[in-house]
Amino acid sequence: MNWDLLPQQLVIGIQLGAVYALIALGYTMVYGVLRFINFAHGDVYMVGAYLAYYTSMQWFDRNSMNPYVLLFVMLIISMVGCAILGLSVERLAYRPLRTAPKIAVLITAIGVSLFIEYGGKFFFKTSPKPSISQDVNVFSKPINIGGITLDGSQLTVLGVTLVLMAGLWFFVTHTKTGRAMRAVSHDFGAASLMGINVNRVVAITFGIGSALAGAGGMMNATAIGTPLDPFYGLVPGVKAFVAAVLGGIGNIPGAVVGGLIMGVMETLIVWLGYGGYKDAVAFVLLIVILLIKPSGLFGSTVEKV
Amino acid sequence: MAAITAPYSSSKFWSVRFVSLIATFLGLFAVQLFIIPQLNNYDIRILTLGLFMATLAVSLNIINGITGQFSMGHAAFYVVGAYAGGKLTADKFDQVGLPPQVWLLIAVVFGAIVAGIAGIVVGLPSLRLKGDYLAIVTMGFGEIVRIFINNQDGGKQAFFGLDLGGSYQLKVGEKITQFWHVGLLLVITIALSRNLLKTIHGLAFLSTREDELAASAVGVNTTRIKVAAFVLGASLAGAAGVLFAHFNNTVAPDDGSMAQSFLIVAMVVIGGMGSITGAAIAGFALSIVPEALRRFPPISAIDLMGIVLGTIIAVVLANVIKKQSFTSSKGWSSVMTVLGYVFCLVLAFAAFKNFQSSVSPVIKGVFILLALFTLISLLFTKGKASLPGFGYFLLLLGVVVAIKFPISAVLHKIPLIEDNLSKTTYTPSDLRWALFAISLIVIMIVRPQGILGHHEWSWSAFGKMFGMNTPNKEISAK
Amino acid sequence: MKKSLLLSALAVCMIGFAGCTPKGSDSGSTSNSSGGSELVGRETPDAEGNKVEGDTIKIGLIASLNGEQQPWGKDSENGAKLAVEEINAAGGINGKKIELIIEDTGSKAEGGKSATEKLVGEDKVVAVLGEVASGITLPAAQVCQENAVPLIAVGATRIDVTQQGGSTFRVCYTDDFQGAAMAKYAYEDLKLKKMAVLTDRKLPYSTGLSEVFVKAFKSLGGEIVAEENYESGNIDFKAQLANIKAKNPDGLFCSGYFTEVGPIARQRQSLGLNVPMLGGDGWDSKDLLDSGGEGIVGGYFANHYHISEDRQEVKDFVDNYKKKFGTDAGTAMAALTYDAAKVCFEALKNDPELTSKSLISAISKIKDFKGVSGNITIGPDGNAQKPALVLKVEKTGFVPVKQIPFFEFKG
Repeated sequence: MNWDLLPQQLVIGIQLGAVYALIALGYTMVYGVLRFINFAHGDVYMVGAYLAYYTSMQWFDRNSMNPYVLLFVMLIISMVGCAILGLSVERLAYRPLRTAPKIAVLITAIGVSLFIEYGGKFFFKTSPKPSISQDVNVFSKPINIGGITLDGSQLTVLGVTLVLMAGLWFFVTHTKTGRAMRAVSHDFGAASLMGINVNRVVAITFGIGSALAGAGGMMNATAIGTPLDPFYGLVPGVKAFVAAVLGGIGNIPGAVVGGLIMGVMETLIVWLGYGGYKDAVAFVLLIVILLIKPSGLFGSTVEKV
Repeated sequence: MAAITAPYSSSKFWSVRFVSLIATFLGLFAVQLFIIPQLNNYDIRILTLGLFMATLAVSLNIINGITGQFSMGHAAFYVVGAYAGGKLTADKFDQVGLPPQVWLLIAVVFGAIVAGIAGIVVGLPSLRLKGDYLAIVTMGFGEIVRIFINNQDGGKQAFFGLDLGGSYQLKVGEKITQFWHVGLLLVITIALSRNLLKTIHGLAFLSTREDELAASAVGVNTTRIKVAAFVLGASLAGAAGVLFAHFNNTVAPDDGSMAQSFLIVAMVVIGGMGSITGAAIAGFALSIVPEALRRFPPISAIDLMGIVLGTIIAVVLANVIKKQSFTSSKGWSSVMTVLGYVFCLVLAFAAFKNFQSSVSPVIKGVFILLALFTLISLLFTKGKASLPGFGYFLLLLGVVVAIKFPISAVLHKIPLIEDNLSKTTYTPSDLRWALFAISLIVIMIVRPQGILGHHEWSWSAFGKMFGMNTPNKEISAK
Repeated sequence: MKKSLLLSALAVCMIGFAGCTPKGSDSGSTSNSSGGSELVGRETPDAEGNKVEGDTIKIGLIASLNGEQQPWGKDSENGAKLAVEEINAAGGINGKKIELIIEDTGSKAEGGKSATEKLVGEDKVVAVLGEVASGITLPAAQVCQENAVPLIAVGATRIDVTQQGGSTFRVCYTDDFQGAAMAKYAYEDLKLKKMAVLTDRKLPYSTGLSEVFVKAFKSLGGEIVAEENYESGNIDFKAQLANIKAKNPDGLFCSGYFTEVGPIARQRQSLGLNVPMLGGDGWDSKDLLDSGGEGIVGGYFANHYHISEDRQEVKDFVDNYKKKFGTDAGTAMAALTYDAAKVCFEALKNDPELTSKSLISAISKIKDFKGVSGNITIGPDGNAQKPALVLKVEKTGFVPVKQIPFFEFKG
């Protein structure tokens, strides 16, 4: 154990947490309204990463374009593409199951997830495992502050996550649609009796959630450069879900805090020298938190668990 | 309640049970002695794996279906058992020198106990958590088990220098398990869960599922019931795991991956939550069908597009027709049923004809059974159309096949598609996961309670299918 | 409930008694004890094996056409298809055509076993080619040994794969050699004295390779200052890299696949850990250049061959591959599968009996076969004794820097 390393590791953990938090935001929104685990969320994230890849590496000439413009175009294409995907999944697979038992919806979500993964195999005609080139990412320069190294691109992700969180929070609490969303989240049946078009609200939620996943996929694929494959979203998806539950699912700041806590915990276990157990930490933490406070850190106490 | 307990507590009931157990045992033994030697290793393997998955599905059904505790980490119990029993054999088998099958029994009991303890560990959170949260915790438990095993290779990351082969695999070395061992475990698992449902104890489990608050109000110790369900389901899965370890010779951490757990949950849900029959059949079928797809010839990309477009057109057409008034008449549904069965027969015949001569008797048998079943039920339903939904579905299938050809022909004429895709082919085994995903979604939308719902297989239901009217003595779960 | 439990217990006891009878234990024992033979686990199988019937010789290929290792599976499939097409165009073997049957393993050990059982038991192939991954090859090798069918492994570098029985061979080198060769290269050529090792716990390949590297580097007199772990699927490695940086190593050995090595290289650079990176054949993919960016430039890894090599076999293979599939021969797995198939054909030519059992001894006699991935001599342990090629990662691609001839390393 090297105590001098602790500040550096904490900083690394927060940056990693930002990655999880961005995906967790979309998870938490959908759960908040529909109360089911959208397992396909991780796969929407994967599609977002692929769209970003196509945009930057195939559809546009990245050498002749202003890199900032290119990043913005990537972001827009990923978000719009994923929103469309999310809306169609909601319309085709989830809406017919509105009144079905929860477990049926969950199994459908697993089915959708498998379908996007294995169907993706036939659609993504790229080199086996493509990745977005480093020169697309203009934020990649490391920043040194007093012996602690900060990663420019991951700091950008953290910044974007916080901005999106603030925007979402404003949207949910200060707009009419947001109020409708909260009403649907509170009581599905009563909301529809009050004249709220529930289907429209759910569709909007799915659209926004999926667009966030697309943004997450684009930003993480660009910042980290992990080679893409159709199973790219599986592990981050599950971890992001754990982060969302950790912070109290359905709670927007909770998702971000949950993601950051998870990032820090994962980093600390590596710092202790047990890098092989890194993935288990998330789940141990989850079990402990759920046993102490079943609704998560920030979840409302009246949560119907 | 009295009506339920009276016939089943009589001594006749138990003697029937006992005789049927012995009969099953002898039957399995006969299968092992006379039928198994006729098959090749591959057939034996896929049949045995089918039994494993059926056992897992039925044992998960105790937790998910009967008690209503949503567990998504069932494969973890399976690998816990497999590693416990496998490690015992790898370390101790040569030293002890017992006959293999006696040793197997010891290993199975040991593995079941270890998995049962794991069941208690996982069951305890279920006292506080429900629904999705419990699902996530059990899923997390599955991942923790997998990661734990990954790191136990006797190296620096391992706890107490434990060597389970790490991410590679644990070599068990001894292939002891035979087909009938697994069959017997499946029978025991089915018998246990069936007896659980039939006796008064089962009602406590069912009431915990239906309404926990009400159950505890009438004096059911729901805490005990929930943990008991977890322990029972886990130890049965653990026993299956031990048999698997001695069947496969090696165990890998991936055997307990999240995907495997999802698959088992899917089996239970597709079969019908709470239905033992459904879980067993779905478990067996979902394990066999992907393997059976290996035997089909590749399909060209354009044909595939034709099928997809054909399905969309057929579904749209069906929806249009459904809205017409004449479809509500009785005659219509009979016609639908008959047409559907005819198409089914034609399909079965076509599939049968297309097989190469080397195709194994098992698959042929399945198709012959399907055709026979169709024919018999067609003859005996006497126009009552007991299965119009099924017939309707089959008709749809027939329409898809029929309109696929013109669509594919048109697609071949489009230069853009012809140039890019005319040479691309997909093998059905490549498509199997996508197919599985689609059928999962479709089944859940069409029939969210699962194919069998809460129903169980029984002689009276079987008779009813053929028009016989026998009184139903079963207690319905709902 | 009590009665039902009692009955179940009774039934379980009956299994126990029945177990004592010798009946039904016919397919029971396939023990792997090394019955007196010199080499560990290389005894000849006692089953009868499959025979060639009719005018076609059936050869099986197991490959991961689905799942995580799909890219390698695809390359492997292409390599085998090319080899079979060439041999059939040249008139087949002694007038008999080759029929290639491909089965998917789904990147899973269990799937690999089922696929092999199907090829061996139902299609009655006389030889099985594949798999790329060691973890999947091992159960497949067990099946082949039980049925006396030769298995020619493609990319399975884990040491114990060929210890499953005398019917298992491979056309690639082992981790024993690969790890030791890289240790030697690091210590002697690059003059690195203190190394850090980063291992992927989820990959049997990675754990095995790291183990050998650590042993070999220590035996040369070097020092391993840090050993860190991750799991494939992780996206952030900075925590491990920060730990490593604190130990001030001269070099970093990453035994994982390129999927994670790329991001590791980028993150290493952003943390200011400016030491050369080394690795094994799991790095072999052009995508490494994109995912690793500037961080991976200057890294070294061991590979089987390189498409720019100036040998006639390599040139022919690269040309024909491009002609048939329209792309460059991607990873070394295509070449290795091609070689495995060619080795199999060579053995078939020398085997008049044309049974799978006689094929086993024919394959074990292969000497100095000129393959795309180098000259292949099957040793008594079933492994191919062939050199490793160290490649350097440049901005535009991989450049061969040194060939390390075969030597034996006993850890």
